[in-house]
Amino acid sequence: MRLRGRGKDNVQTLRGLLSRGHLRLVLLAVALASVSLMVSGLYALRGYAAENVVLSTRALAYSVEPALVFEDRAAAKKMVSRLATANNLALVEVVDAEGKPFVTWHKPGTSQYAAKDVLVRALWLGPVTQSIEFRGKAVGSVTVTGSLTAILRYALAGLVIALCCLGITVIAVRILARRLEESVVAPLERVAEIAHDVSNERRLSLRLEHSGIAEIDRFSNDFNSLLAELESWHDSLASENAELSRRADHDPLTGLGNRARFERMLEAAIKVAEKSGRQVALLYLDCNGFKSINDTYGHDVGDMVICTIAERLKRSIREKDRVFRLGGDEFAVVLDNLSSLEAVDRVSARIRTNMKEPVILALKVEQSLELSIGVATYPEDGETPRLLVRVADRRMYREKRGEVVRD
Amino acid sequence: MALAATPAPSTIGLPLGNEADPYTPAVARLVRSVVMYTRWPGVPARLRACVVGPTDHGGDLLAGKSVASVGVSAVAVTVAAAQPGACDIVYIGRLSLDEQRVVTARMRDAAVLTIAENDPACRSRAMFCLLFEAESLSFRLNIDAVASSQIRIDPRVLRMGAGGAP
Repeated sequence: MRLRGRGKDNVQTLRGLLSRGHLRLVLLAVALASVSLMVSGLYALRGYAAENVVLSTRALAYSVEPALVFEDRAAAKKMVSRLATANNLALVEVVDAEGKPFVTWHKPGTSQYAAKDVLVRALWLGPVTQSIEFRGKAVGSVTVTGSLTAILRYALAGLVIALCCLGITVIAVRILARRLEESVVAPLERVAEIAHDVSNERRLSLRLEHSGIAEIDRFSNDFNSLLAELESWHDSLASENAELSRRADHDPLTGLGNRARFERMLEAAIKVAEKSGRQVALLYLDCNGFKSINDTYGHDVGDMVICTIAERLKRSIREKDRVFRLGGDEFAVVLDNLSSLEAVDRVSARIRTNMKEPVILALKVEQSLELSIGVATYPEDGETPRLLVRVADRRMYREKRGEVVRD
Repeated sequence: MALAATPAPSTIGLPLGNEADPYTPAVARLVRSVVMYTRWPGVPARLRACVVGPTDHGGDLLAGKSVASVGVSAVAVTVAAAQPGACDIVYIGRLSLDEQRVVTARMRDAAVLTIAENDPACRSRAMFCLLFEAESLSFRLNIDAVASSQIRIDPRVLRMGAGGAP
């Protein structure tokens, strides 16, 4: 997962940001160091070169003086050439007392013009002129221009060294920066991972680990406590939701499913039976004489009787069958996935037997209970829940009125 | 040291004029230049130049042209008269090699500048041996003779000589 920067269009990573920052800093530092070294080095070297030109001029003036006096050009030429080569000069011009050229020498491989170029003048490497005197009388003069060779060589070497240093530092800084980036980015990526899990999978149990960086640890602690708060909030919400949904389809008095739940379950059972081809039986039950109990002994006793009926119904059915309280003293039992209707009769018989056990209604008043039962089966009595309910209800009322159960 | 044995370069030395004998004034000028770079013990004010034997190009030197300004006065002498006490400079003219050697042997270890006119191979043991070339006048040096002499010649001049020390 990538961390996002602020840019709208150009999304950049923190890693890239750190890397670029480091690189710029290093480039600046190395450039500053090399430039200052080069400038100071060149300045010092230029000083030496200029001094060399002056000293060479003096040496030339001294050496060439007898040759001028003897008017010996060849000797002068030999001497000038030797000194100029040894002192790395670019151009030497010797003129006699009348200003006529006596000897001219320039560095092999360079033209006379190149030796006088702008750069040489800019670096004050000449031309330097000194008159040659012999016994107080001027016999000529020598003019010398310095050469850039040494300075250029230094500049080139400096450039190469600076580039090498730059390369080495860039690599070193890249490695160091990567380490730093990893220690910063790894915890942040962990945060992003956890945030992703929380938002997509609602996994609130994850926590950030200790990273060893103060700022990130502070952030992690806050993030973790936020997660903990979110988790407890989420848990309480979930349990409240479960309670609410339980209340919505359960009868608070008996804890049995209510009418809404019954309708849903019946419909589901029929759907299953449609596919499997098996039968579903629906039992409607009503307590005979409940109204009089309620009227005689009060609602508390009525409620107690209802609870007793619920408890006895639960006891009478098979484990996979379900009991619902539809309201008042009306109950329903759904027996699904039946292969024969024998089980219906057995359950009905067991209900009737269990109800016969007397219930203590008041001091020294006992009474056995009696239920009217109406049975409807799928698919014989109807194929929709509505139809089944109506048939079961009708049969139950018929039984209550004492009519013959089978029609 | 066998410096004198090397052959002379072609165009070296004093340029010549257009006179009937261009070497005569050049010889006087060369002697003057050498004198200016040479120091005698005691720094004598006047320098006596002895021109020994007949010369081809020593006319201007004898006449005092060029050299008079540096305090040189020249006289023609015989081989026998050329003695260290009488001369500060000895210009050896057209003599045989043996005669030249007699003169130079006499001047050895004295404060005398010796110049040989007729000895291009420089075997006479004179300090300076003149080289008359088509375009110029130059000289060879006999470093042994210079070293054993009491006069002191500017080393820059010694370096100028044909085949001289580098």
